[in-house]
Amino acid sequence: MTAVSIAGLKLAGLASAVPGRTLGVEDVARRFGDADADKLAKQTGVVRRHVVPPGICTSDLCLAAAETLLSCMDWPRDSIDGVIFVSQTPDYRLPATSAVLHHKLQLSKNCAAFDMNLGCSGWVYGLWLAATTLASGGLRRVLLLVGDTISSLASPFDRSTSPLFGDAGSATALERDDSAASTTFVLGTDGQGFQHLIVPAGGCRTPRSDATSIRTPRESGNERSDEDLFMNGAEVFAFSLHEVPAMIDAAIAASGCAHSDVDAFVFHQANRFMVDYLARKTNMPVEKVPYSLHEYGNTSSASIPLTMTTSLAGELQNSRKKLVLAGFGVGFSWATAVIDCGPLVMPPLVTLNHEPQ
Amino acid sequence: MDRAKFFTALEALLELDPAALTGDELLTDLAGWDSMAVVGFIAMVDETFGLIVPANQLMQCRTTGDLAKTVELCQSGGSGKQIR
Repeated sequence: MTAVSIAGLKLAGLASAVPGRTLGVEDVARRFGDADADKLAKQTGVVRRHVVPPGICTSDLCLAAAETLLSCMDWPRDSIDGVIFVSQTPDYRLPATSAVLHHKLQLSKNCAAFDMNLGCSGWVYGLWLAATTLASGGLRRVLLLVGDTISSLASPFDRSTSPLFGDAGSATALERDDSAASTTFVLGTDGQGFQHLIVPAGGCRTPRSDATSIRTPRESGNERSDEDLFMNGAEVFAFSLHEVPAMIDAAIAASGCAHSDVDAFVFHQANRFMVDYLARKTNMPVEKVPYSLHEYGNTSSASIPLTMTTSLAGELQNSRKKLVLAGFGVGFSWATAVIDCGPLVMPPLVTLNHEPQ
Repeated sequence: MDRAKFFTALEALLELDPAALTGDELLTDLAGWDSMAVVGFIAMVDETFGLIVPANQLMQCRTTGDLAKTVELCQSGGSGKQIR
């Protein structure tokens, strides 16, 4: 896809939430041994992750983020006329989780609500979709609720996934503002890669059965069932090398700014090795590339907003910044935005300890 | 492709002594050859030779010599993508 620029999008506020329960290298060591745990931590950069206990869903994290955000903003609930929920871990097969969240947030009936199934590219895709609904879909204020609880999909006996993924949710407040600068997007897809990051069973193609629930030995001593997440890290890395540097160059060129004008480059927090490599390959100064994965792991669709909350809140609350936001992964799917934003409402990271209502 | 350069880079990646590799080593016998090493290998070839090796072809390699042949095939335009 070629780059598009959309006028009139204002990012008004952003909040992120994580569960209070954490797992660290010592927990990985208990399963895989000290040597492997240290090696995994070194390679992935993940030292600690926040992981949901049973019973807490992505929507609970997004709800906590949204309630905190709205309590800091002057948006009457009935002024919100769009809710977009982006996740691969919805509450139900149906209905859409956006409807459940619409109810819990006590929003007006004059509100469009729908879900979108995307992962690592999901928050940037959501931003683009919100921008289009605000620019030409007649909406004025959209809540973009994005997150995942991938820990609930990973087999605890699979060292390629279980030590890597953490859980998080986010809420982004977006509104139409005719004076806002244009936001530039580049989006793309290579569906040939669909089988490299997949939960094979549990959908309509391969429904759940006794056979799909049994964990069996797989490559490299890993054990998982067909209802668990599978990731082919080499394929994901090769795809990212092909697409991510080109997508970032295209987005910056189309936005009309120079590489040096950008204040921060926020990458999807895939793993430390990959983000370091992509940052180097795209000639990004290390001080402009923030990380959250050491404390929170790879948080899938929430990783970009979570990194903004944990690393950029101080600057974004008080000043205007030019950000390049790059998501890439499951699909394969990728999306980059070049956006001017701030000052915006950014409450501190929300930690969800209590049981959901 | 400069094979000496290739094996020197592969030895560094796998934290082996210089000149430890001949091309005959079975990958299954190399302690350091795991899924993250495959990722590291793709990065090493990209940095050293400016090529992105298709991951599925690496899965079919049995020896370190097969890895070298895969990179050579990629370099001659048989597969992969020349990026600079």
